[in-house]
Amino acid sequence: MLLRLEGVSKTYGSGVRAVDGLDLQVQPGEIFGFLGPNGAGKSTTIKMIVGILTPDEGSIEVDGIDALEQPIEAKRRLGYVPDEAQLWEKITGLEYLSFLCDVYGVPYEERRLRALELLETFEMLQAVNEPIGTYSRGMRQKIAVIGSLMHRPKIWILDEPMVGLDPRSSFMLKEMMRSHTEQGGSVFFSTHVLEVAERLCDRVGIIHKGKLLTVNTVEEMKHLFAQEGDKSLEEIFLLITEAQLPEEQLASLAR
Amino acid sequence: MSNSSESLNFPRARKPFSSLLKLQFKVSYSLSGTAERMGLGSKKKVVLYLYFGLLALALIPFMGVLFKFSNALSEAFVGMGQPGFVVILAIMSGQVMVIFFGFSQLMSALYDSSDLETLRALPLPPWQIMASKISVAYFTELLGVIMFAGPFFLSLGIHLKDMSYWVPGVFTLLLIPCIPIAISVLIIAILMKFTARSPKKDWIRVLSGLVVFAFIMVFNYLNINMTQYGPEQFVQLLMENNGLVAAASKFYPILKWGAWALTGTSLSQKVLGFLLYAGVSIGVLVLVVSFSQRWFFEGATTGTVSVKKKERVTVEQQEGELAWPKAKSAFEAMLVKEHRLLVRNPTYLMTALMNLMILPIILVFGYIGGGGDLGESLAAITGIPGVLDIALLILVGIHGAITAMSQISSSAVSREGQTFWISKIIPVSPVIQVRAKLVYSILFSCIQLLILVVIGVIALKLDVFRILILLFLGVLVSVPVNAICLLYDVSFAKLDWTDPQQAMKGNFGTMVAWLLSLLYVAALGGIVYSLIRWGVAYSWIYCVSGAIILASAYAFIRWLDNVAERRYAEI
Repeated sequence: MLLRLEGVSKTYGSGVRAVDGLDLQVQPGEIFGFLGPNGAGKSTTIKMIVGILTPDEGSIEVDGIDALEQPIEAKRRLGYVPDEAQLWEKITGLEYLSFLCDVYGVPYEERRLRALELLETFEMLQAVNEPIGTYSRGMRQKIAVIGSLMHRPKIWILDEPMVGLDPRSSFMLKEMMRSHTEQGGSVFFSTHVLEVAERLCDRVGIIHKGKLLTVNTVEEMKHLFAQEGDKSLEEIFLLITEAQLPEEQLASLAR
Repeated sequence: MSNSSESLNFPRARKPFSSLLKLQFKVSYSLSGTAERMGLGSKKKVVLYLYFGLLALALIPFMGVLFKFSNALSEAFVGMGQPGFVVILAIMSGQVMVIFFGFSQLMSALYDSSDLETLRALPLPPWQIMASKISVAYFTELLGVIMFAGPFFLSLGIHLKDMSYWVPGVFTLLLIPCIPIAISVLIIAILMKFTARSPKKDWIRVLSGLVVFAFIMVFNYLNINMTQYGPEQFVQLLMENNGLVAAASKFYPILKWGAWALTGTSLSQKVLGFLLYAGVSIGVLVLVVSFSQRWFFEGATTGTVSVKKKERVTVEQQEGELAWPKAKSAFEAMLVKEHRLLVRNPTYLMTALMNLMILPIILVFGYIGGGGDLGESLAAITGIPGVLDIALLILVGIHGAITAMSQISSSAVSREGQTFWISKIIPVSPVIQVRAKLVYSILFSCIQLLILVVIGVIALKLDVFRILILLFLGVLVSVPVNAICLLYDVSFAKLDWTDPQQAMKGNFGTMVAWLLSLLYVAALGGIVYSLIRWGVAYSWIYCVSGAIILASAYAFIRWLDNVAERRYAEI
């Protein structure tokens, strides 16, 4: 198991339970899609996995390492792309990548080759020596994606990664997700684009009001809803999150 | 592979902490960033160096006055056999300055930096993130300390004529920020841990900051206050070599150790003093950083979302709760926005309030420190014809000189940061927007003016007529001063900051704007001085200075309007 969350909960401010007893496992070679409406707890969960937030309860294991006991070791195995990349405006793309390589301890001789491969894939080679402040939103997203892969992480975590990307870059990103899992890594990403999840993910989890309602393959999910006619993932998502399901069906999904 | 791949030259590999430090300094002190903001581009760095050169020249008169003052002080205290007292004054004033400027800077860097999330997701131990932020703050504060306390060390060294003074002297100066930064970090970490979940955490932090600052000021005053000694005791202290040193450091021995290090009576005392001063300074800072990193981390990872727990409410209840504020004009809306942006950001609010507090605290301590004699002396002097009028004009001058210190107007545009695009797209002309900023800055200056009026009434016993004149001229002078500061900020706004304090205290432009406003006040003072020397009646001096301020205010506002129209389109 590359990622394991057990009974993870997080409460904010005056008692809002953003994530409530979440159990989740991600296998090697798997693309896991994390779905949910706005404010469902997706970003909070991701931030707890990558160490930005500390859970109030529960445990998080990354590649067999307890992320709460050994956060540095756990972080070394993760690559993270935030929903809105806050990057330093005054440094160049190359300086940003160099900083990440220093922090993750990427050997010097590997840096150039890895960067060339990724920069060419995302057509960022021309811009890499320019200050990040001059980048468009899509370019910032691309440099954040490149930065997250420089150290070849085992688990690649992306929070709404398609936002701001042009169709070609979006396609390349999806290809890279597949290639990452083919090499034995796993991908955990949140998205609102259900079409992408439907086509790309091996399994999807749907979170609503902090609770994980279901974790299944898209096919299994469609099978569960077969009695209600042929439904797309989008329709299933709306059925689940808008609570139009009977209690017993929700309970069976959770099982 | 394209030609661009040839330009892909990775900088040399560094250790994670060294790389993080380099990044933080680059982000905070990038010359290219400053050049870009000034519209110079990276190719016109010569102009940038020229600009900094001119600024340095503008500082020469100020540094000259400071050096002259410290030189006279050093000469006097060395002559009295009390050279250590100069060291105590230099260290103490430097450390108070670091608390004053550094506390909110550190709070902003450790709480509000937009890169904290990015850094926390990286495999970096919390102490490294904390230490990198503190290092930048230390360096920034050190620049101020060198500027203000440096002349004291320099002049003392010249008067002591001892070559062995210089090396420990430089290190003593460089270590001044250690203790105040450690105190600030400790308090901030405690606040981060224990207020992270409180919905009123911003207010608690602002109030705590003000209380800490007031406490430090009172502590230093009690520590160095010599009025507690009777004349005989005081003479006795003066008779002893460095007798004042022990008296002025009884609650805070670090001052004594610093004084021993540089002016000790024997080599062993000097070595012991230096080892204690340096060891305790560095030790306390290291200890505090390692001790408080856990609190910092816990506070930082608790999460900042603070919303009320949702309960089931009916649509009618929701509508009832949705008390829509009443409609305002565009100008009023801008004014309200300015106010909310300031008071709802604890960093800005604390900076503004601390800037407001500094003058009254200094004046009140000066008044109390002077004991009953000062009150009697003032009563005798103010009885002389014309003295009250001169005092009134000086108060107006002080108000003009310190108005820009609040940094409200000189950071009004910069504070908008990445949200400045909203100001660009709203259907409100830039003229209205900057005028709202100007009016808000003037209103804020009025709080300071009221404090001055209260001081004038208590200390100088100003009559009603003079109070009204002081209020009138005070409000009037704050118009051109704030307009000058706004002019500078509109022209060179610093919008690309990673933590809010970079827009205010970390904004070099606010100091330039202050220097420019000082030039204006100095010119005004020169005119008033000439009028007094020519024997013009004070009622006429009030009228003439009022007219000059009014005319210049009009000119600056028109200039501001033009620049705003142009710059809002360019930025």
